[in-house]
Amino acid sequence: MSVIEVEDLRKRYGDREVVRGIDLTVEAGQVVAVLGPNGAGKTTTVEILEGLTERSGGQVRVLGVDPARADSAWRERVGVVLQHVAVEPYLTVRELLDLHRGFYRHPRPTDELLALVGLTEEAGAQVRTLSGGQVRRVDVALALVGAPELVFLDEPTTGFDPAARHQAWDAIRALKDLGTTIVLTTHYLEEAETLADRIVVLADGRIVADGPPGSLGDRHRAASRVSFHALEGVTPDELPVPVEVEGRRWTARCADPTVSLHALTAWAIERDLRLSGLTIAPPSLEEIYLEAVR
Amino acid sequence: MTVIVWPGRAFRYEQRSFWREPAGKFFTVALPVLMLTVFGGLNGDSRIHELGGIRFSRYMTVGMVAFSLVTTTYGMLSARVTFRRESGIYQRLRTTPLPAGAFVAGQVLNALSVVALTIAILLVVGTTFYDGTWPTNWPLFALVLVVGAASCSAIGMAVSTFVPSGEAIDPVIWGTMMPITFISGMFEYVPPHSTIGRIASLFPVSHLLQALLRAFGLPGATGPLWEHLGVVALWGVVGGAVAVRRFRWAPHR
Repeated sequence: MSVIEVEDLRKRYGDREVVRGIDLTVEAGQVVAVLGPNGAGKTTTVEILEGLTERSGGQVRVLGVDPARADSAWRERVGVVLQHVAVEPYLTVRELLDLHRGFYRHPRPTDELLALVGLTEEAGAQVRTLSGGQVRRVDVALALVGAPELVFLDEPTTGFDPAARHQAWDAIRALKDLGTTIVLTTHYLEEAETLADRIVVLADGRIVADGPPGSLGDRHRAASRVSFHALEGVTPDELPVPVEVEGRRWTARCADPTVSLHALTAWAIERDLRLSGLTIAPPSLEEIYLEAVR
Repeated sequence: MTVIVWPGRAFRYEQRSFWREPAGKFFTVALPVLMLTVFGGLNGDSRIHELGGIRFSRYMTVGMVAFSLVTTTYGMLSARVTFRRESGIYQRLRTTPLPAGAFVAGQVLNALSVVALTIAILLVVGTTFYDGTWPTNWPLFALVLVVGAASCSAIGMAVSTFVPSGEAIDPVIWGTMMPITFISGMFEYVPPHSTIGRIASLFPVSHLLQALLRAFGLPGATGPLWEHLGVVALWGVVGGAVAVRRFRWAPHR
Protein backbone atom coordinates (compact mmCIF):
# COMPACT_ATOMS: atom_id res chain seq x y z
CA MET A 1 0.00 0.00 0.00
CA SER A 2 1.23 3.47 -0.86
CA VAL A 3 1.84 5.96 1.94
CA ILE A 4 0.01 8.76 0.13
CA GLU A 5 -2.70 8.31 -2.48
CA VAL A 6 -4.31 11.40 -3.94
CA GLU A 7 -6.86 11.47 -6.75
CA ASP A 8 -8.23 14.61 -8.38
CA LEU A 9 -7.65 16.74 -5.28
CA ARG A 10 -9.34 20.12 -5.38
CA LYS A 11 -9.57 23.10 -3.05
CA ARG A 12 -11.65 26.22 -3.55
CA TYR A 13 -11.60 29.41 -1.51
CA GLY A 14 -14.79 31.21 -2.57
CA ASP A 15 -14.67 31.44 -6.35
CA ARG A 16 -10.97 30.80 -6.55
CA GLU A 17 -9.79 27.25 -7.08
CA VAL A 18 -6.24 27.03 -5.72
CA VAL A 19 -5.78 23.27 -6.12
CA ARG A 20 -7.14 22.11 -9.43
CA GLY A 21 -7.03 18.35 -9.78
CA ILE A 22 -3.88 16.82 -8.33
CA ASP A 23 -3.07 13.12 -8.64
CA LEU A 24 -0.16 11.88 -6.57
CA THR A 25 1.07 8.59 -5.17
CA VAL A 26 4.00 8.41 -2.75
CA GLU A 27 5.62 5.12 -1.79
CA ALA A 28 7.14 4.26 1.59
CA GLY A 29 10.66 5.57 2.12
CA GLN A 30 10.52 8.13 -0.67
CA VAL A 31 11.65 11.71 -0.21
CA VAL A 32 9.41 13.92 -2.33
CA ALA A 33 10.12 17.61 -2.83
CA VAL A 34 7.19 19.78 -3.87
CA LEU A 35 8.34 22.84 -5.79
CA GLY A 36 6.42 25.70 -7.29
CA PRO A 37 6.05 29.48 -7.29
CA ASN A 38 4.22 31.32 -4.50
CA GLY A 39 0.50 30.69 -4.76
CA ALA A 40 0.95 27.44 -6.69
CA GLY A 41 -0.98 25.53 -4.01
CA LYS A 42 1.94 23.80 -2.27
CA THR A 43 1.04 24.65 1.30
CA THR A 44 -2.68 24.12 0.74
CA THR A 45 -2.01 20.68 -0.71
CA VAL A 46 0.30 19.71 2.11
CA GLU A 47 -2.12 21.02 4.76
CA ILE A 48 -4.88 18.88 3.28
CA LEU A 49 -2.60 15.85 3.50
CA GLU A 50 -1.77 16.78 7.11
CA GLY A 51 -5.46 16.93 8.03
CA LEU A 52 -5.35 20.65 8.86
CA THR A 53 -7.36 21.94 5.89
CA GLU A 54 -10.53 20.47 4.42
CA ARG A 55 -10.55 19.69 0.72
CA SER A 56 -13.29 20.71 -1.68
CA GLY A 57 -13.11 17.58 -3.82
CA GLY A 58 -11.21 14.44 -4.70
CA GLN A 59 -9.98 11.41 -2.79
CA VAL A 60 -7.12 11.43 -0.29
CA ARG A 61 -5.61 8.55 1.66
CA VAL A 62 -2.61 9.09 3.89
CA LEU A 63 -1.36 5.93 5.63
CA GLY A 64 -4.66 4.40 4.53
CA VAL A 65 -6.76 7.02 6.33
CA ASP A 66 -8.66 10.04 5.09
CA PRO A 67 -6.79 12.89 6.84
CA ALA A 68 -10.03 14.89 7.14
CA ARG A 69 -10.99 12.24 9.72
CA ALA A 70 -7.61 12.06 11.40
CA ASP A 71 -7.60 10.74 14.96
CA SER A 72 -4.96 10.47 17.67
CA ALA A 73 -3.69 7.10 16.41
CA TRP A 74 -3.10 8.56 12.94
CA ARG A 75 -1.38 11.66 14.32
CA GLU A 76 1.03 9.37 16.20
CA ARG A 77 2.28 8.14 12.83
CA VAL A 78 2.56 11.51 11.07
CA GLY A 79 5.08 14.26 11.91
CA VAL A 80 4.42 17.80 10.77
CA VAL A 81 6.60 20.89 10.49
CA LEU A 82 4.46 23.88 9.55
CA GLN A 83 5.62 26.78 7.44
CA HIS A 84 5.39 29.24 10.35
CA VAL A 85 7.54 28.28 13.30
CA ALA A 86 5.56 28.38 16.53
CA VAL A 87 7.22 27.09 19.67
CA GLU A 88 6.70 28.00 23.34
CA PRO A 89 9.34 30.69 23.88
CA TYR A 90 9.92 30.35 27.62
CA LEU A 91 10.46 26.58 27.85
CA THR A 92 13.83 24.94 27.42
CA VAL A 93 14.39 22.63 24.49
CA ARG A 94 14.49 19.60 26.76
CA GLU A 95 11.33 20.57 28.67
CA LEU A 96 9.46 21.13 25.44
CA LEU A 97 10.48 17.76 24.04
CA ASP A 98 9.61 16.04 27.33
CA LEU A 99 6.16 17.66 27.41
CA HIS A 100 5.49 16.66 23.81
CA ARG A 101 6.65 13.13 24.56
CA GLY A 102 3.69 12.97 26.93
CA PHE A 103 1.37 13.20 23.93
CA TYR A 104 2.67 9.95 22.34
CA ARG A 105 2.43 6.32 23.33
CA HIS A 106 5.88 5.31 22.07
CA PRO A 107 7.97 8.47 22.04
CA ARG A 108 11.59 8.64 20.99
CA PRO A 109 14.01 9.24 23.88
CA THR A 110 14.71 12.96 24.35
CA ASP A 111 18.47 12.57 23.93
CA GLU A 112 17.97 10.72 20.65
CA LEU A 113 15.77 13.57 19.37
CA LEU A 114 18.33 16.16 20.42
CA ALA A 115 21.10 14.28 18.63
CA LEU A 116 18.97 13.79 15.52
CA VAL A 117 18.56 17.55 15.02
CA GLY A 118 21.97 18.48 16.43
CA LEU A 119 20.74 20.39 19.50
CA THR A 120 22.34 18.34 22.28
CA GLU A 121 24.35 21.35 23.45
CA GLU A 122 21.29 23.63 23.49
CA ALA A 123 19.08 21.23 25.48
CA GLY A 124 19.02 23.47 28.56
CA ALA A 125 18.45 26.76 26.73
CA GLN A 126 15.09 28.50 26.58
CA VAL A 127 13.70 28.52 23.06
CA ARG A 128 13.59 32.35 22.93
CA THR A 129 17.39 32.51 23.28
CA LEU A 130 18.03 30.33 20.20
CA SER A 131 18.76 31.47 16.64
CA GLY A 132 16.13 31.17 13.94
CA GLY A 133 17.77 28.08 12.51
CA GLN A 134 17.96 26.42 15.91
CA VAL A 135 14.29 27.13 16.65
CA ARG A 136 13.44 25.57 13.32
CA ARG A 137 15.36 22.46 14.34
CA VAL A 138 13.45 22.38 17.65
CA ASP A 139 10.32 22.45 15.52
CA VAL A 140 11.64 19.54 13.46
CA ALA A 141 12.47 17.61 16.64
CA LEU A 142 8.87 18.11 17.84
CA ALA A 143 7.65 16.57 14.61
CA LEU A 144 9.84 13.52 15.23
CA VAL A 145 8.85 12.85 18.87
CA GLY A 146 6.47 10.05 17.93
CA ALA A 147 8.97 8.37 15.56
CA PRO A 148 6.57 9.00 12.65
CA GLU A 149 6.49 6.89 9.49
CA LEU A 150 5.67 9.98 7.44
CA VAL A 151 6.96 13.52 7.89
CA PHE A 152 5.76 16.73 6.23
CA LEU A 153 8.17 19.65 6.12
CA ASP A 154 6.76 22.91 4.78
CA GLU A 155 9.69 25.10 3.67
CA PRO A 156 11.96 23.79 6.41
CA THR A 157 14.98 25.96 5.56
CA THR A 158 13.49 29.24 4.36
CA GLY A 159 15.54 32.14 5.68
CA PHE A 160 18.49 30.00 6.80
CA ASP A 161 22.10 30.92 6.26
CA PRO A 162 24.09 28.33 4.28
CA ALA A 163 25.58 26.65 7.37
CA ALA A 164 22.19 26.29 9.04
CA ARG A 165 20.75 24.95 5.80
CA HIS A 166 23.40 22.25 5.58
CA GLN A 167 22.73 21.25 9.20
CA ALA A 168 19.03 20.97 8.44
CA TRP A 169 19.79 18.87 5.38
CA ASP A 170 21.89 16.52 7.49
CA ALA A 171 18.95 16.10 9.87
CA ILE A 172 16.62 15.33 6.97
CA ARG A 173 19.08 12.80 5.50
CA ALA A 174 19.37 11.12 8.91
CA LEU A 175 15.60 10.85 8.96
CA LYS A 176 15.56 9.37 5.49
CA ASP A 177 18.14 6.79 6.55
CA LEU A 178 15.70 5.68 9.25
CA GLY A 179 13.28 4.76 6.47
CA THR A 180 10.92 7.70 7.03
CA THR A 181 8.79 8.86 4.12
CA ILE A 182 9.28 12.62 3.70
CA VAL A 183 7.28 15.21 1.82
CA LEU A 184 8.90 18.63 1.80
CA THR A 185 8.01 21.86 0.07
CA THR A 186 10.76 24.27 -0.84
CA HIS A 187 11.72 27.24 -2.97
CA TYR A 188 15.31 26.09 -3.20
CA LEU A 189 16.14 23.96 -6.19
CA GLU A 190 19.45 22.79 -4.81
CA GLU A 191 17.59 21.64 -1.69
CA ALA A 192 15.25 19.54 -3.79
CA GLU A 193 18.12 18.23 -5.87
CA THR A 194 20.27 17.19 -2.92
CA LEU A 195 17.52 15.68 -0.74
CA ALA A 196 14.75 14.35 -2.92
CA ASP A 197 14.27 11.08 -4.76
CA ARG A 198 11.51 12.74 -6.64
CA ILE A 199 10.46 16.27 -7.48
CA VAL A 200 6.88 17.35 -8.04
CA VAL A 201 6.45 20.79 -9.58
CA LEU A 202 3.17 22.59 -8.94
CA ALA A 203 1.99 25.63 -10.85
CA ASP A 204 -1.41 27.22 -10.66
CA GLY A 205 -2.87 24.34 -8.65
CA ARG A 206 -1.73 21.56 -10.97
CA ILE A 207 1.26 19.23 -11.27
CA VAL A 208 3.30 20.38 -14.25
CA ALA A 209 6.34 18.12 -13.82
CA ASP A 210 7.01 15.02 -11.76
CA GLY A 211 10.13 12.85 -11.72
CA PRO A 212 13.55 12.13 -10.20
CA PRO A 213 15.85 15.19 -10.08
CA GLY A 214 18.10 13.75 -12.80
CA SER A 215 15.36 13.21 -15.35
CA LEU A 216 12.72 15.78 -14.39
CA GLY A 217 11.23 17.29 -17.53
CA ASP A 218 13.42 14.98 -19.70
CA ARG A 219 16.44 16.72 -18.27
CA HIS A 220 18.66 13.70 -19.03
CA ARG A 221 17.70 13.80 -22.71
CA ALA A 222 17.65 17.57 -23.10
CA ALA A 223 20.43 19.44 -24.85
CA SER A 224 23.60 19.87 -22.76
CA ARG A 225 25.20 23.22 -22.21
CA VAL A 226 28.79 23.80 -23.36
CA SER A 227 29.90 27.07 -21.86
CA PHE A 228 33.12 29.16 -21.67
CA HIS A 229 34.31 32.74 -21.08
CA ALA A 230 33.70 35.22 -23.88
CA LEU A 231 36.61 35.28 -26.35
CA GLU A 232 38.46 38.51 -27.05
CA GLY A 233 38.65 39.68 -30.64
CA VAL A 234 36.09 37.17 -31.87
CA THR A 235 32.39 37.68 -32.54
CA PRO A 236 30.02 34.86 -31.58
CA ASP A 237 28.90 34.22 -35.17
CA GLU A 238 32.45 33.24 -36.19
CA LEU A 239 32.18 30.08 -34.05
CA PRO A 240 31.43 26.67 -35.64
CA VAL A 241 28.47 26.15 -33.31
CA PRO A 242 25.73 28.67 -32.46
CA VAL A 243 26.18 30.22 -29.00
CA GLU A 244 24.05 32.40 -26.76
CA VAL A 245 25.68 35.32 -24.96
CA GLU A 246 24.85 35.27 -21.23
CA GLY A 247 26.75 38.14 -19.67
CA ARG A 248 30.45 37.32 -19.84
CA ARG A 249 29.87 33.70 -20.82
CA TRP A 250 29.01 32.12 -24.12
CA THR A 251 26.87 29.00 -24.07
CA ALA A 252 26.08 26.51 -26.83
CA ARG A 253 23.11 24.16 -26.49
CA CYS A 254 24.28 20.85 -27.91
CA ALA A 255 22.04 17.88 -28.68
CA ASP A 256 25.24 15.82 -29.18
CA PRO A 257 27.92 17.45 -27.02
CA THR A 258 30.66 15.00 -28.18
CA VAL A 259 30.49 16.29 -31.75
CA SER A 260 29.94 19.95 -30.85
CA LEU A 261 32.79 19.97 -28.37
CA HIS A 262 35.11 18.42 -30.94
CA ALA A 263 34.21 21.05 -33.53
CA LEU A 264 34.61 23.83 -31.03
CA THR A 265 37.99 22.76 -29.62
CA ALA A 266 39.39 21.97 -33.10
CA TRP A 267 38.34 25.46 -34.21
CA ALA A 268 40.01 27.03 -31.17
CA ILE A 269 43.27 25.06 -31.47
CA GLU A 270 43.56 26.04 -35.14
CA ARG A 271 43.45 29.72 -34.11
CA ASP A 272 45.60 29.17 -31.00
CA LEU A 273 42.74 30.34 -28.73
CA ARG A 274 42.09 29.04 -25.24
CA LEU A 275 38.50 28.32 -24.13
CA SER A 276 38.90 29.36 -20.52
CA GLY A 277 36.35 28.32 -17.90
CA LEU A 278 35.08 25.59 -20.22
CA THR A 279 32.23 23.53 -18.74
CA ILE A 280 29.83 20.96 -20.07
CA ALA A 281 26.68 20.22 -18.12
CA PRO A 282 23.12 19.04 -18.47
CA PRO A 283 20.52 21.81 -18.18
CA SER A 284 20.28 23.01 -14.59
CA LEU A 285 17.28 22.02 -12.51
CA GLU A 286 16.45 25.70 -12.44
CA GLU A 287 16.12 25.83 -16.22
CA ILE A 288 13.86 22.75 -16.18
CA TYR A 289 11.83 24.25 -13.36
CA LEU A 290 11.41 27.64 -15.02
CA GLU A 291 10.39 25.91 -18.23
CA ALA A 292 7.81 23.80 -16.35
CA VAL A 293 6.14 26.63 -14.45
CA ARG A 294 6.10 29.08 -17.37
CA MET B 1 -5.07 6.66 26.65
CA THR B 2 -7.73 7.32 29.23
CA VAL B 3 -9.88 10.38 29.68
CA ILE B 4 -7.75 11.36 32.67
CA VAL B 5 -4.30 10.95 31.19
CA TRP B 6 -4.85 13.23 28.18
CA PRO B 7 -6.17 16.29 30.04
CA GLY B 8 -3.50 15.64 32.66
CA ARG B 9 -0.74 15.87 30.07
CA ALA B 10 -2.29 18.98 28.55
CA PHE B 11 -2.58 20.51 32.03
CA ARG B 12 1.07 19.78 32.75
CA TYR B 13 2.06 21.48 29.50
CA GLU B 14 -0.07 24.56 30.29
CA GLN B 15 1.24 24.81 33.83
CA ARG B 16 4.85 24.73 32.71
CA SER B 17 4.21 27.32 30.05
CA PHE B 18 2.12 29.63 32.27
CA TRP B 19 4.47 29.82 35.24
CA ARG B 20 7.45 30.44 32.99
CA GLU B 21 5.94 33.56 31.41
CA PRO B 22 6.70 36.72 33.37
CA ALA B 23 3.73 38.94 32.46
CA GLY B 24 0.96 36.44 33.15
CA LYS B 25 2.02 35.86 36.71
CA PHE B 26 1.82 39.52 37.60
CA PHE B 27 -1.54 40.32 36.07
CA THR B 28 -3.17 37.12 37.20
CA VAL B 29 -1.86 36.39 40.65
CA ALA B 30 -0.25 39.57 41.91
CA LEU B 31 -2.71 42.18 40.64
CA PRO B 32 -5.77 41.21 42.76
CA VAL B 33 -3.57 40.88 45.86
CA LEU B 34 -1.94 44.23 45.12
CA MET B 35 -5.34 45.87 44.67
CA LEU B 36 -6.53 44.48 47.98
CA THR B 37 -3.51 45.90 49.76
CA VAL B 38 -3.81 49.29 48.02
CA PHE B 39 -7.58 49.81 48.29
CA GLY B 40 -7.83 48.00 51.59
CA GLY B 41 -4.98 50.09 52.96
CA LEU B 42 -6.40 53.40 51.68
CA ASN B 43 -10.01 52.94 52.68
CA GLY B 44 -9.68 50.13 55.14
CA ASP B 45 -11.22 51.86 58.10
CA SER B 46 -14.21 53.38 56.32
CA ARG B 47 -17.49 51.62 56.81
CA ILE B 48 -20.31 50.81 54.43
CA HIS B 49 -23.49 52.15 56.05
CA GLU B 50 -25.83 50.39 53.60
CA LEU B 51 -24.38 47.06 54.72
CA GLY B 52 -24.89 47.54 58.41
CA GLY B 53 -21.62 49.39 58.85
CA ILE B 54 -19.18 46.56 57.95
CA ARG B 55 -15.65 47.65 57.27
CA PHE B 56 -14.86 48.38 53.63
CA SER B 57 -11.79 46.18 53.62
CA ARG B 58 -13.90 43.16 54.67
CA TYR B 59 -16.18 43.81 51.70
CA MET B 60 -13.19 44.41 49.47
CA THR B 61 -11.71 41.01 50.30
CA VAL B 62 -14.80 39.32 48.85
CA GLY B 63 -14.74 41.76 45.93
CA MET B 64 -11.18 40.80 45.11
CA VAL B 65 -12.01 37.09 45.28
CA ALA B 66 -14.66 37.71 42.62
CA PHE B 67 -12.29 39.99 40.70
CA SER B 68 -9.52 37.40 40.59
CA LEU B 69 -11.98 34.79 39.41
CA VAL B 70 -12.94 37.07 36.52
CA THR B 71 -9.42 38.24 35.64
CA THR B 72 -8.11 34.68 35.58
CA THR B 73 -10.83 32.61 33.98
CA TYR B 74 -12.11 35.32 31.66
CA GLY B 75 -9.12 37.62 31.17
CA MET B 76 -6.04 35.42 31.46
CA LEU B 77 -7.62 32.45 29.74
CA SER B 78 -8.89 34.36 26.72
CA ALA B 79 -5.63 36.31 26.40
CA ARG B 80 -3.56 33.14 26.48
CA VAL B 81 -5.83 31.32 24.07
CA THR B 82 -5.86 34.22 21.60
CA PHE B 83 -2.20 35.02 21.80
CA ARG B 84 -1.04 31.45 21.43
CA ARG B 85 -3.56 30.57 18.77
CA GLU B 86 -2.54 33.61 16.70
CA SER B 87 1.15 32.84 17.13
CA GLY B 88 0.51 29.38 15.66
CA ILE B 89 1.32 27.35 18.79
CA TYR B 90 -2.14 25.77 18.82
CA GLN B 91 -1.96 24.78 15.18
CA ARG B 92 1.36 23.17 16.07
CA LEU B 93 -0.23 21.25 18.97
CA ARG B 94 -3.04 20.15 16.68
CA THR B 95 -0.53 18.13 14.66
CA THR B 96 0.21 16.04 17.77
CA PRO B 97 -2.07 13.21 18.98
CA LEU B 98 -3.45 15.43 21.77
CA PRO B 99 -7.26 15.51 21.29
CA ALA B 100 -9.01 18.89 21.09
CA GLY B 101 -11.16 18.23 24.16
CA ALA B 102 -8.14 17.38 26.29
CA PHE B 103 -6.38 20.44 25.02
CA VAL B 104 -9.25 22.74 26.05
CA ALA B 105 -9.56 20.91 29.37
CA GLY B 106 -5.86 21.54 29.99
CA GLN B 107 -6.37 25.28 29.42
CA VAL B 108 -9.35 25.48 31.76
CA LEU B 109 -7.75 23.31 34.45
CA ASN B 110 -4.72 25.57 34.36
CA ALA B 111 -6.91 28.66 34.84
CA LEU B 112 -8.74 26.92 37.70
CA SER B 113 -5.52 26.00 39.46
CA VAL B 114 -4.27 29.56 39.15
CA VAL B 115 -7.50 31.06 40.44
CA ALA B 116 -7.57 28.61 43.37
CA LEU B 117 -4.07 29.70 44.34
CA THR B 118 -4.88 33.40 43.98
CA ILE B 119 -8.04 33.12 46.06
CA ALA B 120 -6.16 31.25 48.76
CA ILE B 121 -3.59 34.05 48.92
CA LEU B 122 -6.35 36.68 48.97
CA LEU B 123 -8.15 34.97 51.84
CA VAL B 124 -5.00 34.61 53.90
CA VAL B 125 -3.95 38.22 53.27
CA GLY B 126 -7.52 39.49 53.73
CA THR B 127 -8.20 37.70 57.01
CA THR B 128 -4.76 38.52 58.39
CA PHE B 129 -4.50 42.20 57.54
CA TYR B 130 -7.83 43.55 56.28
CA ASP B 131 -10.50 42.39 58.66
CA GLY B 132 -11.61 39.83 56.08
CA THR B 133 -13.57 36.75 57.08
CA TRP B 134 -13.45 33.15 55.93
CA PRO B 135 -16.50 31.84 54.10
CA THR B 136 -19.28 30.88 56.48
CA ASN B 137 -20.86 28.48 54.00
CA TRP B 138 -18.03 26.48 52.43
CA PRO B 139 -20.18 24.25 50.16
CA LEU B 140 -21.88 27.35 48.75
CA PHE B 141 -18.49 29.05 48.38
CA ALA B 142 -17.20 26.06 46.41
CA LEU B 143 -20.35 25.93 44.29
CA VAL B 144 -20.14 29.64 43.43
CA LEU B 145 -16.49 29.31 42.50
CA VAL B 146 -17.12 26.30 40.25
CA VAL B 147 -20.12 27.85 38.51
CA GLY B 148 -18.37 31.21 38.21
CA ALA B 149 -15.11 29.78 36.90
CA ALA B 150 -16.86 27.52 34.40
CA SER B 151 -19.00 30.38 33.17
CA CYS B 152 -16.20 32.93 32.90
CA SER B 153 -13.98 30.36 31.15
CA ALA B 154 -16.70 29.69 28.59
CA ILE B 155 -17.23 33.41 27.99
CA GLY B 156 -13.48 33.94 27.69
CA MET B 157 -13.15 31.14 25.15
CA ALA B 158 -16.07 32.61 23.21
CA VAL B 159 -14.68 36.16 23.19
CA SER B 160 -11.31 34.86 22.02
CA THR B 161 -12.86 33.50 18.83
CA PHE B 162 -13.86 37.03 17.79
CA VAL B 163 -10.40 38.51 18.22
CA PRO B 164 -8.20 38.01 15.16
CA SER B 165 -4.83 39.03 16.61
CA GLY B 166 -2.78 38.65 19.75
CA GLU B 167 -2.34 42.43 20.00
CA ALA B 168 -6.09 43.10 19.95
CA ILE B 169 -7.04 40.85 22.85
CA ASP B 170 -5.73 42.99 25.74
CA PRO B 171 -7.83 46.07 24.91
CA VAL B 172 -10.86 43.82 24.46
CA ILE B 173 -10.36 42.15 27.81
CA TRP B 174 -9.57 45.22 29.86
CA GLY B 175 -12.16 47.29 27.99
CA THR B 176 -14.89 44.86 29.02
CA MET B 177 -13.58 43.63 32.34
CA MET B 178 -12.74 46.92 34.05
CA PRO B 179 -16.05 48.78 33.52
CA ILE B 180 -18.12 45.70 34.31
CA THR B 181 -16.21 44.72 37.45
CA PHE B 182 -16.36 48.37 38.54
CA ILE B 183 -20.11 48.86 38.12
CA SER B 184 -20.67 45.42 39.61
CA GLY B 185 -19.32 46.65 42.93
CA MET B 186 -15.97 44.97 43.22
CA PHE B 187 -14.07 48.09 44.20
CA GLU B 188 -16.83 50.01 45.89
CA TYR B 189 -20.25 48.99 47.15
CA VAL B 190 -22.92 49.56 44.46
CA PRO B 191 -26.51 49.29 45.71
CA PRO B 192 -28.30 46.71 43.52
CA HIS B 193 -31.36 48.94 43.05
CA SER B 194 -29.43 51.99 41.89
CA THR B 195 -29.30 52.75 38.17
CA ILE B 196 -25.72 51.50 37.93
CA GLY B 197 -26.68 48.43 39.93
CA ARG B 198 -29.50 47.66 37.52
CA ILE B 199 -27.22 47.98 34.51
CA ALA B 200 -24.66 45.78 36.24
CA SER B 201 -27.31 43.14 36.92
CA LEU B 202 -27.46 42.42 33.19
CA PHE B 203 -23.95 40.98 33.40
CA PRO B 204 -22.84 37.91 35.33
CA VAL B 205 -20.22 39.64 37.46
CA SER B 206 -22.54 41.41 39.94
CA HIS B 207 -24.47 38.17 40.43
CA LEU B 208 -21.22 36.35 41.06
CA LEU B 209 -20.33 38.91 43.74
CA GLN B 210 -23.75 38.74 45.38
CA ALA B 211 -23.62 34.95 45.52
CA LEU B 212 -20.15 35.18 47.06
CA LEU B 213 -21.32 37.70 49.69
CA ARG B 214 -23.90 35.08 50.73
CA ALA B 215 -21.20 32.44 51.03
CA PHE B 216 -19.25 34.78 53.29
CA GLY B 217 -22.32 35.51 55.38
CA LEU B 218 -22.15 39.21 54.55
CA PRO B 219 -25.07 41.51 53.76
CA GLY B 220 -25.34 43.23 50.39
CA ALA B 221 -27.07 40.64 48.23
CA THR B 222 -30.68 41.02 47.19
CA GLY B 223 -32.98 38.52 45.56
CA PRO B 224 -32.88 34.74 45.76
CA LEU B 225 -29.57 32.90 45.50
CA TRP B 226 -30.73 30.69 42.63
CA GLU B 227 -31.36 33.78 40.55
CA HIS B 228 -27.75 34.95 40.94
CA LEU B 229 -26.33 31.52 40.17
CA GLY B 230 -28.83 31.16 37.32
CA VAL B 231 -27.72 34.36 35.57
CA VAL B 232 -24.04 33.37 35.90
CA ALA B 233 -24.76 29.89 34.56
CA LEU B 234 -26.89 31.19 31.68
CA TRP B 235 -24.09 33.46 30.51
CA GLY B 236 -21.78 30.48 30.73
CA VAL B 237 -24.06 28.24 28.68
CA VAL B 238 -24.40 30.86 25.94
CA GLY B 239 -20.64 31.52 26.01
CA GLY B 240 -19.91 27.81 25.87
CA ALA B 241 -22.20 27.29 22.89
CA VAL B 242 -20.52 30.14 21.00
CA ALA B 243 -17.06 28.92 21.98
CA VAL B 244 -17.70 25.37 20.78
CA ARG B 245 -19.30 26.55 17.55
CA ARG B 246 -16.52 28.97 16.69
CA PHE B 247 -13.51 27.15 18.13
CA ARG B 248 -10.49 27.20 15.85
CA TRP B 249 -6.90 26.03 16.09
CA ALA B 250 -5.52 28.02 13.21
CA PRO B 251 -4.42 31.66 13.37
CA HIS B 252 -6.42 34.28 11.41
CA ARG B 253 -3.67 35.12 8.94
